[in-house]
Amino acid sequence: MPTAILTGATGCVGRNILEELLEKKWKVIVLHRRSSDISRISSLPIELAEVNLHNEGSILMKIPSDVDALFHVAGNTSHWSAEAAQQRADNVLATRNLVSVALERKVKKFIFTSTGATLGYQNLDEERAEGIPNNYVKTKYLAELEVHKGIERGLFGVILHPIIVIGPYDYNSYSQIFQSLKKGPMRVAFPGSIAFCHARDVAIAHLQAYESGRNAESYVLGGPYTTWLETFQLICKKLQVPPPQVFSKWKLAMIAYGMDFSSRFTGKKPLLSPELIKLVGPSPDVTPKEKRKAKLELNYESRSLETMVDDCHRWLVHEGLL
Amino acid sequence: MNTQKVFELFVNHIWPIVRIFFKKNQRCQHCIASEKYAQIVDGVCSDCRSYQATTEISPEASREMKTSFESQLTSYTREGNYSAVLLLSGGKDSAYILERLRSERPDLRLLCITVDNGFMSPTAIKNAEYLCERLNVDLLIHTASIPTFAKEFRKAFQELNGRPTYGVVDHKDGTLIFRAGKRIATELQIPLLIGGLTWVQIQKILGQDGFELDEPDGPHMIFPLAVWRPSQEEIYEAVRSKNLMLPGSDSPVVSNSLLISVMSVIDVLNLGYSSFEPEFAQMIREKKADRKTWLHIFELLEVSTRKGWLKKDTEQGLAKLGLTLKDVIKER
Repeated sequence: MPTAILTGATGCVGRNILEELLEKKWKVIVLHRRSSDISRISSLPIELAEVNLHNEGSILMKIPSDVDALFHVAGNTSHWSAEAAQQRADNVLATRNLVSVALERKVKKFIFTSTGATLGYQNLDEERAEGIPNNYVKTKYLAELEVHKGIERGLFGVILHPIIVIGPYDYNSYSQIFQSLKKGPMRVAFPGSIAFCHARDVAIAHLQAYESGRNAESYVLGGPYTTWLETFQLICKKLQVPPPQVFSKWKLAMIAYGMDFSSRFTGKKPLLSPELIKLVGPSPDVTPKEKRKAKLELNYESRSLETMVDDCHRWLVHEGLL
Repeated sequence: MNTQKVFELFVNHIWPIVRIFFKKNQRCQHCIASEKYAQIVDGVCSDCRSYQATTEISPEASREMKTSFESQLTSYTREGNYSAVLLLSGGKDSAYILERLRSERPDLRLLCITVDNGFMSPTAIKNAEYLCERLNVDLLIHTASIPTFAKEFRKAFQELNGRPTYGVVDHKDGTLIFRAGKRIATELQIPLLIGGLTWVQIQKILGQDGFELDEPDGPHMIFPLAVWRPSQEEIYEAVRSKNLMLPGSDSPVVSNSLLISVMSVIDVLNLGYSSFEPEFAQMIREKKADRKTWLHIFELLEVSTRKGWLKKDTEQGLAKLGLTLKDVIKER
């Protein structure tokens, strides 16, 4: 029975990977923070290990020496500037520590979940990467550089770049779109187009990256490329609520600055932040070359957008989150 | 004077002087990629950064490709019968291919097919006729699929949903042209189909390297430009010096398809850049196209679209498909 270490198991991608690992009869050790809501996974046949990913020693104590794969999925996806320092530690320092421990414990393969948002910044060195304007993108890219540094020291590392992940077990990411569209009264879609991918297919690709991914390679996990509007319309249809309207970027920016301003007083994370709005807009589709590479080497293909929306919706209803 | 001619005049003589007075997107200092397409850091786009990290085709691979290409052509040479169908668009690239094949491989008997998609400029058809007559090659102008093209283009535009036209409408155009070429080649029992895709287009559209496409049914398909890899300048020079096109129709700005300008305008309105730009940016990176020329063309396209100068022509183009701008620019 192969052994996997998994971080981020309470998040959408991580939980889907966990399901996939269990289905494939892996022994799974889930690393989690003290603050993680482990009630979501505590009934599963897994080993839970509380760690502080900011502390290398804390991780070292929880990782045995016969690990086949370390799936580092955990990440701080905040787009709120007030959390910038925390995000840097969560994304960069945590990855550095995990890479270091993986080398120390001779973990066979290190599979790192990055994001499609870093694709535009590939081949920047660390110094130039500090100039990436969005803190989330910057810290995820710096984390990729930590994996590459590990690879130079002998780690077998594979980096995956899922684009927009939709599917079941999404507690607090894109499922918020479902909730806010259901709640109304203002139903607003982002401008632009982007590629969407099914959470379960992304999870399967992670296991396949362990099986057949090449060392030091990156794989882009895309899927149906369409407008946010079409996606929001599909969700609205599923929810049986009136369709949304698209707000231009500057309108969204105004709302985001307003939310950001009030959050300074309430201390509550805003639903929209100026940092997030700067990221929305037309994004290029995954190139045919990247699609082909993911298909040939990871046998990766995403299900349709309708299936993503259906599966996410069904799960949200089942969990009583809608 | 038609809009393309005005555009050509403007891009070559006026735009280089007045461009500083117009607000434009930031573009990569190495190629021409717009900030709307690629992340630009310190003036350099993500594609240029990635390109620096990779290499062009090695001399060995290039030699191997040429040998394989030549031996394939030889294997298709047949006494008396047509060896291959060449898809002739009436543009510069296919004119260059035809002339070069005629001079380098006189043993090949070619049948040229110009597939009219209903958007070909009248000059493009005249160019195809002129060239085939000059080089003594048989030409077939296929117009029977125009209604199919119109139906498929209409559908593609309607399903565009803000996506780049390059991967949707242009891809559909290419697919239908190849399908028509394949059907004719199969009917006439011609084993080889020669297309005009460049190596960049093969990478960007088909997602693969190489020069050939082997599909289970129909003729074998090859793309000579992927083997020869000529620069745009080499192509223009050959077209001009050998009079391969009618006078006045060989400018880089003049396209053989009215659909290209319609697609480009729609892209600028939907995405902020023309989805044809990445292909030219790649050619510039590979030093196969002149940066200044294409920078000015795409800058002017961007500004004229924003100013509404190309609106009338775009609406006329779309009207041929029974569409309006509202049908394709859904988010504005």
